[in-house]
Amino acid sequence: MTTHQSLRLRELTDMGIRDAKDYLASLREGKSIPFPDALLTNPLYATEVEPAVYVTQQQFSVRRDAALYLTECLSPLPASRVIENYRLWSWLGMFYFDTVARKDADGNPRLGRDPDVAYVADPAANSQAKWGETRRFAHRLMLAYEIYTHHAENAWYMLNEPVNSLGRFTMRLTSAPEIFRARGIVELAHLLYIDRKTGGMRSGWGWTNDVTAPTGSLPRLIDVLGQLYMNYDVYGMSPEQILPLLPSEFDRFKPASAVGYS
Amino acid sequence: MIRRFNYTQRKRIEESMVSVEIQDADEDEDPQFIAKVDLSRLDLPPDAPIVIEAKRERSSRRFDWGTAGSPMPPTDCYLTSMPKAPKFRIMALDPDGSRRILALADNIKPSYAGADGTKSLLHLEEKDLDKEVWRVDFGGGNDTPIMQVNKNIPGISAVVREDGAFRALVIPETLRLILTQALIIDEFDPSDGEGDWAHWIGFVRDFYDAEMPVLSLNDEQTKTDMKEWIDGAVSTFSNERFHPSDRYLAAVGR
Repeated sequence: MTTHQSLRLRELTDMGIRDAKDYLASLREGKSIPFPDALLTNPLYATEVEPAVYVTQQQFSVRRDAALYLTECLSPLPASRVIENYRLWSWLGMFYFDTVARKDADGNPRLGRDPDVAYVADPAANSQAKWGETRRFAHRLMLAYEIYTHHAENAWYMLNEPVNSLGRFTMRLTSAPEIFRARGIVELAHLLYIDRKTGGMRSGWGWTNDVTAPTGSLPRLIDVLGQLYMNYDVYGMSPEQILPLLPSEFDRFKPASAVGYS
Repeated sequence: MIRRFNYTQRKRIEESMVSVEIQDADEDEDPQFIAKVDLSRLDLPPDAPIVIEAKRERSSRRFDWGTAGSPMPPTDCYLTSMPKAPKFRIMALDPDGSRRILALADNIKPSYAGADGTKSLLHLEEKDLDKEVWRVDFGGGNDTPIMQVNKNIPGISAVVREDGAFRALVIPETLRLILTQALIIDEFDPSDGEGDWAHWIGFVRDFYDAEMPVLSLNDEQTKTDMKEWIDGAVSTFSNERFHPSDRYLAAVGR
């Protein structure tokens, strides 16, 4: 566990990224080793970001907590130096590792099936050598930040999920960046598949082991949007513009006021 | 010749009506683009909104571009958080608010303006390639090819531009890779004058006029014939245009 409560924001160096991944690998092997605090402050491992920004240890129970805090903290930095800066997000992933990582019964970090990129980005480890959008979305804190930055409360269900999880609904919507970035589509998916009263997923929203996507499900929605893309500016449309174009298989999910459209 | 049917009555925005140019940018900066759009020949409603979408792989960025009667670029044309070398989709939309596409140009390839104002067919990008020195990235398959070079090698971009030995070894092979991707893997129809690979076929046709075999699906013989045609194109490029062995000898001082 890091002993630092508040620190100036930094970026991990190549050596810092390598050692952070070594630390994660040790945890996966079941070794009980102390958190390498030097990763966060030693100039060999981390360099300070200009202008000076300070971050403080926080408890992020849901993505919204992390998103609101990080959006505020990172606001002095130009967006271009935040979004694609894998070194910065790697440092944040380590600084908040104790908060973000799941724990076992003894309170020790339990990575389970979380990939390294959930905490530390390493483009060189990817055969495509890319810190592309689909990989960025696997980083737990980056994902929270991006969801809030693009969608704010229109993505309220995604923001309500635990920061250390990657739920299937969120995974499906972030698997294609062009879908994720379309404000109207993410809002539409919330409108169709999330019950605002219970805060849970509606039955049949779409995750099964079947090869064929269930009718009216989220995977089917993404298929249908792909077809509409040929004739409509789908990624620029609002839910109200898309709803009338959806076939009847989606009627059971449509808000009552919208069923008459189709 | 591939026949295309237009069931939607959508109008086609021809390449001559639009041009997109990506400006040179430092490695740590987002590039920006400029586009010229003139849809006056399409008889569109003057208030039809125009949208330009930059896309590569599964990433995209959208830019509102005024209307058909009055195209107007936005103040911000930066391709933020986009893979390099995107293609562009240009849409004119129904002004009734439905966002139905009235006219479309898809897969528009941009030109690239370097600091000296020259334009290049092949985009250069520094990336972390681990232990590789260079590779050609085709993105999702038929995206604009990019020569990627390993950013961990200091001065590698200058080597690509100026080192005669490197260029002699790499450039002809790069042409072979690109033609193979276009004609054998993507099975590009060379009679398609505006398709994804038309610029590259046009480039080769400037110096190589051998008859091109017609590629049939799953026909190994025509693939072999096409490979021979590509070898001929690279050979002619080397003999008549690029002279790689001369460049190599000059570079290594023998």
